[in-house]
Amino acid sequence: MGKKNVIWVIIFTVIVAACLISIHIITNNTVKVSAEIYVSDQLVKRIDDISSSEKQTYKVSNEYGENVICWQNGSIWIESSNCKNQICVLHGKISSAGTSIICAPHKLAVTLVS
Amino acid sequence: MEKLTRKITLTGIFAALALAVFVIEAQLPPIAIPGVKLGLSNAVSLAAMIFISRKCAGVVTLIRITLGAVFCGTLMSFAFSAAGGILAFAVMAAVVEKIDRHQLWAVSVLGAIGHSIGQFLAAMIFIGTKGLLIYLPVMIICSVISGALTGLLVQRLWFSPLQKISKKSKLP
Repeated sequence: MGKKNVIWVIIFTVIVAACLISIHIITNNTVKVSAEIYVSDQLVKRIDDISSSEKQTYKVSNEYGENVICWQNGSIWIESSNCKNQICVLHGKISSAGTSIICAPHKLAVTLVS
Repeated sequence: MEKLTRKITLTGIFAALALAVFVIEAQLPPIAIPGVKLGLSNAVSLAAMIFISRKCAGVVTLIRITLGAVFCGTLMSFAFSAAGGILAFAVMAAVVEKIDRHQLWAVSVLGAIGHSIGQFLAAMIFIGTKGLLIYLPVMIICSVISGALTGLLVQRLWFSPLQKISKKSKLP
């Protein structure tokens, strides 16, 4: 009795795993992610597609300070900033829609939208 | 003659049970994801399959789908539940005699997966594929869970004194 049950459990686990993998693949491929850069709630730049395989750079400089924003292969990050806490730089890369990087001293937000 | 009467009666009882369960389940709020439900009426189809016969289970399924749509459904929901229910029935009917009664839950899971695929095919025809593909793996995962639960329920019913209902019963 036990052995056959184990076989079926394994079969269904494989099916569920295959489903989880396909969910991952589908969400990664079909959703194009765009980035929006805001400075004090004003949209200053919209990047339609951040999936380029070459590293791209955009520099934001204004009265609050300077941020260098880079994107490549569907993820975006703040490479450098002259703010005092460096939280935005330490935040690292983001890649899924709905997430953001905030640089509070410079009133800057990088948000990913689908 | 007596055998036939017995079959007709049992089919009627199971159809009424399936319909009642279907109507009650339709009133319950969705669990987690809209459109996901336990599928207890499918469990009744499976029970009919093992307690009476596959043919009678098919009749029970058809009655449940048709009258279920009449009582609480729209034309669209009829198409969806027909596609799901018929495919689930077909899958379960194909495997039920090949799998031991101790693994009846596996039959139910396979049926539930069939139900999801059937509904997905109906959705493809009526709505179109775009953006729906993501729902198929989600639905299959949910159906593995719900199918296992309802299957265990039916399995428990089979290994109980209720087995005496069936002609195939090994109980005294």
